[in-house]
Amino acid sequence: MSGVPKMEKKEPAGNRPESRPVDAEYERQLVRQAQKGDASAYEELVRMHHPRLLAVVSGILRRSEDSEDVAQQVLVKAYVSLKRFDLRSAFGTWLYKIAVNECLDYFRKKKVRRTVYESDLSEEQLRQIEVAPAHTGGPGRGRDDAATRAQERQLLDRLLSELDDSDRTMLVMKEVSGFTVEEIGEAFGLNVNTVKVRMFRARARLVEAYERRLKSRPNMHPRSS
Amino acid sequence: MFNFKQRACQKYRTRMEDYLQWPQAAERDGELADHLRSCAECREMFAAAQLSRRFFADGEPQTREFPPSEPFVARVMAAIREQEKRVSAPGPLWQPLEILASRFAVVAAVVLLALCVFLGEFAPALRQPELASATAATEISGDWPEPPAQPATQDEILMSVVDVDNGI
Repeated sequence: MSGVPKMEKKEPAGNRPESRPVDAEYERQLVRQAQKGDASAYEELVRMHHPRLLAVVSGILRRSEDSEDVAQQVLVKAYVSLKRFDLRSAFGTWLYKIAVNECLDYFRKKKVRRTVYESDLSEEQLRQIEVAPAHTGGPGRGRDDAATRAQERQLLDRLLSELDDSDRTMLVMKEVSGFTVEEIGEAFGLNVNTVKVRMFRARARLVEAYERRLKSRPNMHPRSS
Repeated sequence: MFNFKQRACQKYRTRMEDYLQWPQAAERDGELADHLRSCAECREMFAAAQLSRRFFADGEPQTREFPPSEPFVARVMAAIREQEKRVSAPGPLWQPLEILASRFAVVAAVVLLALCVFLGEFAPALRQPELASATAATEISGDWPEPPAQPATQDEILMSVVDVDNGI
């Protein structure tokens, strides 16, 4: 990978791990104490990690009302299997691995495929949704327009719902929660190149889904990319 | 040839994922830029991948914050205590019976299975001599028709000839 510049990390949503600096040694100490059965040490770990965990789970589940329950389940499961955690990776990395599995499990159980249905929206709303990204000049446009934002979010949700659960989770972790491909690889137990190829393919599928929508509505304006 | 091309494209696609944030930088990576010029499929995928980032930029809130929530922490710790209580609490009085019953069920299933296998495998062999003698007995006595009784006297012979002539 010579010639590939070192990329800066994207910092969306203020959810980056760096946004809440965690003293690694202090965290290890807490983990060791919790492994010995010190519940207050684990409580401190929960206090340190839950804001980001909630953001990540909520991002993966696409703001489902079950996000808090799933995050809670993740923390309980982590506590139960804490004795098996060998401290080779950071506690956070291990926690997000559990979170990813729990979210995928949630998808399997609930069969959550589509969060927004076309029938929920009027023809005019649909037209607006699907034209919006084509005319978007970038993240600055229409930020104050709550309705447009909601519609763009619905479009994203709908496009994401066409992806496979794990591909969608990878993309959301990268684009929404700001995980690096290395962190995603660790969470999924995959090597970095596999993650990159899968995400790249998932992106193409996302756009395919978008273009299929455009084609199914011939009266729509074509995408001007 | 196709596999070779596919593998080459895959190699470039991992790099394209790296360049998504700065597509202009891809131009400076000579090898990748050459590939993009020659491979329409990769070129399209690269453009699509860039567009996909825009969906996220437009569709996701830029400042989604989850502030620390003490009630949530309290709920988690309560759930953990509940879980621990459930694990360490002694079961109901009939629990040993349940365990015994489940073990008995397993043993019974194994015995039944063994019996079925035994009957299926060995029972025909055990019954074979019995069957053989029964068959022999049938051969001697059962299956052949009884021969007609022979006329004993001359009168009976004449009577049978008359019967035949009369169509009886």
